[in-house]
Amino acid sequence: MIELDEVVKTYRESFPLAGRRVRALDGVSLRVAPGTALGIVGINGAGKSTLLRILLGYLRPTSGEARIDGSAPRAYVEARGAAYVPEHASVPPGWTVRGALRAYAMLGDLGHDAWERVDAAIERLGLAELAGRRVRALSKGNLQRLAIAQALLGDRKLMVLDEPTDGLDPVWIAELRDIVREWLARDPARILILASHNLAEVERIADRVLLLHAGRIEGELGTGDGGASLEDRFVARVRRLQEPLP
Amino acid sequence: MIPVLLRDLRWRLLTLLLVSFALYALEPGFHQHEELDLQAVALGPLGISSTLSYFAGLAMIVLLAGFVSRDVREGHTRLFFAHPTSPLTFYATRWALAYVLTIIGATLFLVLGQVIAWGEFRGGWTGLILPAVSALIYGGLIAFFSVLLPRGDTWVVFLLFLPTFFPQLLTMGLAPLSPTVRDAILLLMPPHGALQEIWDGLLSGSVAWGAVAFAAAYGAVLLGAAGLILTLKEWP
Repeated sequence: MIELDEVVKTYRESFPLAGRRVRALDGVSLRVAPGTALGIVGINGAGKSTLLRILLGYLRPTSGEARIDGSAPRAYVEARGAAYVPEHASVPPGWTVRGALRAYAMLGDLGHDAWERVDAAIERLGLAELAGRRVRALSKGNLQRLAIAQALLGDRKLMVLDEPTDGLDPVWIAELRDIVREWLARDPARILILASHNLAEVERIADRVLLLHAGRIEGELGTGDGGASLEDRFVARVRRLQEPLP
Repeated sequence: MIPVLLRDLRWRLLTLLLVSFALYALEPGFHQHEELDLQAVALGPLGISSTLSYFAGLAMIVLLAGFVSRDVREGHTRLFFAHPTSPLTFYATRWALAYVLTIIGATLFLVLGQVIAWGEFRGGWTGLILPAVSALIYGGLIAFFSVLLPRGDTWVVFLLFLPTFFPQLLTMGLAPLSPTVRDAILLLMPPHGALQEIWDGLLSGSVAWGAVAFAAAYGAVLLGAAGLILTLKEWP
């Protein structure tokens, strides 16, 4: 269970001590039950990535509280890990694809079958021909597939995807959808958090969709109700939110 | 993880090999036949320990340059720390590996240098105290600045290292300052005085444990501060 209570995150805009304070998250409260695939949508700068980084314990709330299974997010991730694909995946450029996956496997708690898991992830993400290639020589799409592969190495309960379709071609976007569905189906206690501008994919994968705007949750957009598409509902809601107050 | 870290360090280890060739060429004790420095000849194997100290300081700087700041700057930390590991464990392992490699390097320098220069190993194991302490000092400094600064940590520590080779730089730089400010700066600077005291002690056949403790405490305090900042740090 993920629980966020009145989470506020502020940054200094430029200089750490002297810049103007910016409120990236403004009192976010949220409950995500096991077995949920939660989509988070919002315009650029809405606070999506900040929210995900708080869930991974990379950032600490300025005020409020975040918990995953009763633990602080950082403690949870350090103990159990998270299947995370960041918006801009960055892997040491001198590593090979297989070497990178082995390194990530060694950071985890994969035990004696770590190498088999690496091979399985390489196979699943279609990276076999690129296994010996250096990361610096990968295209954006292939780097994204490597990022997805490392997320699949461990037996995690929490998956966090930040713009995971970025750089993927339509075939691999469909593959990613299948991979995520397989991952969710394997354990009913798993939680998926997906933030993306690709609203069609969010609609296909998520069973709850939250609208984040200016650091606040502005309600749920619902999915699969057979009416207007998620994109249409999203645009209409955001335009209303952006209208100046009378 | 160690094999991956070692592979990542291969170019830095090659750089260290070049550094050790340069230090071998500069160590007067290894060139007795040229009679460059008769005092160095008289010092015997323990005289090499000052060069071992230079090697250890440089080795820690080379092996750990940007080891935290670069990961943060280039965004590698996002994938590293989604796996079940803590930043403190991860970077402490890298630091410890660099320290072990440095001590192995200093030991090889001590033994191989003598065998190559003199045709035999004449001893001087006690002299390894100096590089062990020096590695702790400069390893502490690079850890502290690499955690604290987004970039430039290597150059800051290298500048702090320079007075080891050229003490007159420090004397000249501090001369215009008031004695209070000078003392405060000297307290924050790497403890060159303590290293000198350890070396003098070694040459007179004793170990200056007070100076060893002071120098080691300097490195340990910096390491502790780096660890604390690392624990409190956010990973944006």
